[in-house]
Amino acid sequence: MSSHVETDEDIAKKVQAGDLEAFGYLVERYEQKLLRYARKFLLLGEDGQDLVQDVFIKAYTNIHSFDPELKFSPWIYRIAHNTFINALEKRKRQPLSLFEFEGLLNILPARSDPEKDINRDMDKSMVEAGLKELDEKYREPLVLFYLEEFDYSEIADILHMPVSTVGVRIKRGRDQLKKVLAKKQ
Amino acid sequence: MNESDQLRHKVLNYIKENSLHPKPRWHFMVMVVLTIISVFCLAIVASICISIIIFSLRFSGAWYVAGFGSNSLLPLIMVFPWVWLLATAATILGIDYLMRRFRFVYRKNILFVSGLVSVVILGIGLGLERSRVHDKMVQGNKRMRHMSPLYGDVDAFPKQGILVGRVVEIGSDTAVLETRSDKELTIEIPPHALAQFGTFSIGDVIVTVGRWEGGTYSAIGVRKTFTNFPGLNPRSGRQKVDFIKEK
Repeated sequence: MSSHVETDEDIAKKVQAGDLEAFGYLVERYEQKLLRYARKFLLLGEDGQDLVQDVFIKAYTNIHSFDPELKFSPWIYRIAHNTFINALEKRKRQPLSLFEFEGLLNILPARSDPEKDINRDMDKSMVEAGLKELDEKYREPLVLFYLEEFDYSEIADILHMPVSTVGVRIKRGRDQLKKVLAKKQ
Repeated sequence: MNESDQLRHKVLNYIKENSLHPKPRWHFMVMVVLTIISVFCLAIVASICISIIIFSLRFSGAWYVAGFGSNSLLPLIMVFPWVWLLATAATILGIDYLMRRFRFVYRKNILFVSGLVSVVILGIGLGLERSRVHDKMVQGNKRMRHMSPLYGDVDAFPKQGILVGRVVEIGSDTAVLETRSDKELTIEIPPHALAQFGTFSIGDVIVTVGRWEGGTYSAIGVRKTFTNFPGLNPRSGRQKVDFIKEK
């Protein structure tokens, strides 16, 4: 019996070759992750299935834009990010401003492994407790970093921004979070 | 059937029932090519805008009076082709937006990318302006300067304080200029206006910054420039007389 587990990228290649059933495995693997991402980012409670279904449909129709040489997870999270942003804009009936002025001035590249400074385990519960109080532009990077456990480079690919800006947002998000939690206590 | 199986079935059924198919690979290749072509076209448009801005500054005379200090600031602001500057900025933003689809671009700082794009466009625009294409357009169709808003209104520049003209007559503290509106205009040139930038003769083209006082134009600064100025009639055969000697 083979213990070989197919990677997401291998399965995506099969889907690109026309195997629709293989796409079902990707849905299985990412359904819970994307539901959690939707619920935490959009603050949906237990809802979000329709949005996640929409993400999978878009992923399927755009599967040929995925480069199997790269990781699959940031690619599908990018689709989810766009879908969720559209949902937020519809909900608020206005374009969402995710612009970060400080990110403009942060010209120096981030260090190769800046997230080493931050203890994810220690902060995970803290992030969950204070998410509702955070701005969207800080909430999303924190969700991706602490709850979805992406590294800075992957978050940069999901949000289409420089790694240094990801670092700025996570740091500012943490600072905002600490203030919110301090007020609560 | 658990929640995971439910969504899997929902997604696969939706795809089958609606006969959805992945967009072909060439669709994405065409999109990339179209994006690159759009970036290229926008870069050309932005370069043309830059060349028009530089030429407009030369055409109005503002380019040559920057050395007159604070006296030239207000006229410079008034004749500056702001619309073209806005068009250039919008085009650069458009280029930036399109290029941000590429990984090697969005990973870079936005100021770095916009700065680099601006420098490249400025270089091409300068090259285009140096090719004298706008000079040829103005000289080739002299009427165009009245019809076209491209480079600004030659009749408005003197009212805004900047005057360009060929010297046709020199008097005591005055000079008569042939302007680009084919009119002769007498202007006052106090000695201090000449002190910094030297002398001129009949037939020379001068650019002045000055003020209108009771219908008379009084120069604050005067600078001689090249004789083949865009929009001016070619040099007449009048005798050359040095302004200082005449005085």
